[in-house]
Amino acid sequence: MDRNEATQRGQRNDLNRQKVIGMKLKRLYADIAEEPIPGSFLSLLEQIDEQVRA
Amino acid sequence: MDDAAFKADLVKLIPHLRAFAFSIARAAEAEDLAQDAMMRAWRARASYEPGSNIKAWVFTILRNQHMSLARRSWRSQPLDPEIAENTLVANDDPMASEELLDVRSAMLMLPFEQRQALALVGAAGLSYKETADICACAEGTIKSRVSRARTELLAILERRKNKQRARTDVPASRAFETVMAEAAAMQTR
Repeated sequence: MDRNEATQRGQRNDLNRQKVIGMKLKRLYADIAEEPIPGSFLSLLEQIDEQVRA
Repeated sequence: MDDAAFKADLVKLIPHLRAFAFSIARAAEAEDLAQDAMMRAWRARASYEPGSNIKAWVFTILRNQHMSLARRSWRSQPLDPEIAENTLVANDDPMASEELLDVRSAMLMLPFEQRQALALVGAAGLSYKETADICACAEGTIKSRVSRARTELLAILERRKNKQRARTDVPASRAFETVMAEAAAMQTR
């Protein structure tokens, strides 16, 4: 394998790893976004509701 | 925009606020950060321009709050790389897989501004332009931060993988001895 080929292979590997990291970051974000809204937020929303009504 | 309509938009954004907060802050701080941003957005609703990008507006509030907390607290600085790489990730989120926890903890080791840029572009899927507006800097600066963050994140994960590999190469008979030596070394730091 010549030097050029090795460099290209290295770049392809880097690109693949970047893609994998990108997918993991998106999954991390999506997993949290799909969780149910915690109760602490709901109590804060009730406070907002009271303000809206008043 | 009336209060009820504003509130409805804010409720829709809660999952995104939480996801952004968990991408840039420790789990123990992220929930408070997201709640605080929501309440700040509510109190500042008069300054929101109807029709503009409400998600970017709320993310800006969260990002500014994160910056302000970091200035006040040493705990929000990136973890000491050496200690962090040798520390097992505390699983305080039972819903997250080990793999994702690893990525999240590696994110926390990135410099602050790189972490925010990568979370907004790489995780939340915002454009470079939207991210530049949120972070109050040029689009080129965001491109460079994201690129450096990706490279650094890969390097952190790679180093961890190599360390884990080196640990598993230790024969079982020496494993206990090795763990005790590592613990002693950490105590003397």
